[in-house]
Amino acid sequence: MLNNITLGQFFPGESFIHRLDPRTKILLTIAFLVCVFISRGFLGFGLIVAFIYMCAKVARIQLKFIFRGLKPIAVIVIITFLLNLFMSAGKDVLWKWGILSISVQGIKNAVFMALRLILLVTGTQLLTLTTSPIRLTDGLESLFLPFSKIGFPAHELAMMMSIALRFIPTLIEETQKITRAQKARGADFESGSLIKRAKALLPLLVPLFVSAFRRADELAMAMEARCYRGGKGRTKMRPLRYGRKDLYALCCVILLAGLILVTNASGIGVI
Amino acid sequence: MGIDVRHLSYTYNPGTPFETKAVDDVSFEIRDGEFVGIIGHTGSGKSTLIQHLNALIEPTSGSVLVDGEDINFSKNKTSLRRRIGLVFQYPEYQLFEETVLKDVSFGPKNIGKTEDECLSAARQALQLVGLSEDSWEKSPFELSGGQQRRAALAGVLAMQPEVLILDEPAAGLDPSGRKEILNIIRRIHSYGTTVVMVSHSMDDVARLCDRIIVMEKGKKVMDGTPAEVFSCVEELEAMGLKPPSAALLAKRLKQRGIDINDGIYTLADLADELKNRLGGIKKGA
Repeated sequence: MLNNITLGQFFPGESFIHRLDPRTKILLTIAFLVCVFISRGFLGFGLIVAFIYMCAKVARIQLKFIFRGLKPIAVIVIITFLLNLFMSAGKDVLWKWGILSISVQGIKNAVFMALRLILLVTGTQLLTLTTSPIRLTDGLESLFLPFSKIGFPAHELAMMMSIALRFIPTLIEETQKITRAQKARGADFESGSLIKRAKALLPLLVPLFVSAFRRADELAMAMEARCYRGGKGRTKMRPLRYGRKDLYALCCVILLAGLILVTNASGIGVI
Repeated sequence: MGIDVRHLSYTYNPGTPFETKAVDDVSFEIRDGEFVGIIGHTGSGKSTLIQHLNALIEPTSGSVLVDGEDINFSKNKTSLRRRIGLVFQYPEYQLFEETVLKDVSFGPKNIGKTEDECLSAARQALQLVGLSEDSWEKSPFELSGGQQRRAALAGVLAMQPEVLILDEPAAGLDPSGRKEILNIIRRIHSYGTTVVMVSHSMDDVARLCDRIIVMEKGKKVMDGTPAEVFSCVEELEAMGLKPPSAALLAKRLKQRGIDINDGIYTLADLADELKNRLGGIKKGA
């Protein structure tokens, strides 16, 4: 029960951002990514940081939840940083060893690229933190619907995604339970060589697959019993509608993009 | 060996909006040879509580002592889990081997027994749960639901635990499967194993246990003999628990002015009591 609400990393709330139409949020997130890429200097990044901070405040999301999402990409950020640091060619070389050298330009590039990655991820975090997975797939389905004319299976993909999302917590819970049950029978998942550990996963994977297939079967049956027959003619309980707040959100992002272009043109802090 | 639970608390998702206290300052002691029933409404923290008893979950605060030693600091958790066997709810979902016999010997194998010892322990356990020999070489997935349940139970019994903890062992079984599994548990207890059984079937608990712990919202609210616990019919009903049908019937009869002894909670006892009463009336008449 508990896990049903913690779907993905969605952080329930009733804020302005939470109540935006999911389509708006998806499109504006894409616009936000473009903003990050067109920004050519640190001043632009400053604006973006301020924007993210403001959104987080409005959505009442603690910053630590936004930073939590950075953990998985930490390695990529570090590698990007180091590559840029050592590999950029620059005039004023500070340090040199073989083919590796550090220049002022290199340091700037490294910081800039690392920041860009961090901003990309923190910005998109806002989307997934404030939009429930169901609303998210609803939004995606509606955005991709025009493409179904050329044979793109928008509804099917959206349904598959919602089902997958719906079952992630269930499967996690199940994995946890089976892990514990096998541990109670003395199974050891944590020690031994790599091969031994891979073998130790078998008592976990077999029951997990068996139960996943069983669930899939039951779900298909339950859906058919309720006359599911694909997306054609299917109506929604909560149809998506654009509202005034979506317009406000759009204005905010346009403002951000405009300001970034101005900072680019002004040349302050540009790399 | 006794299990001593001291001020145990466990919180799910601490520091998030989903924070829930599943177990809240629970203390009790389980002594050798007892048959303890843990009852409570869904979400009262029973399942979380029992997973602490063999160190599958680390408590947020408080401790569990086995033989005076805090099990969360114990280095050899595998040996602890051998001594305290835990059968999860719907244990048949953890079957995975090619044959029933192999699956049951998984536990003994993990605790470092030789091939022969494993097989003999497995055979013994399978006999104990009453699975006939012709099913031992079958795939566990070919068995019926009730047989799968018994095979999974055998998987824990094969490690010859000193304490057996069961989470809703009869859930989802038909009446005959229910009866069978409960009889097996009763038999295991009679051989000297300490048993802790989580259940929400009051009738099962009333029939089998000699001590009952009642949980509500993560807290221990009652702890006593079945007679003590089931005499509090109103309190149990207020918690959304259905007292054993015999206790309910006895209470209704008492309300109608029929004088029945306190502390009757099994159908057999109630029948005896009524027989005595009716016999008495006949004699008097």
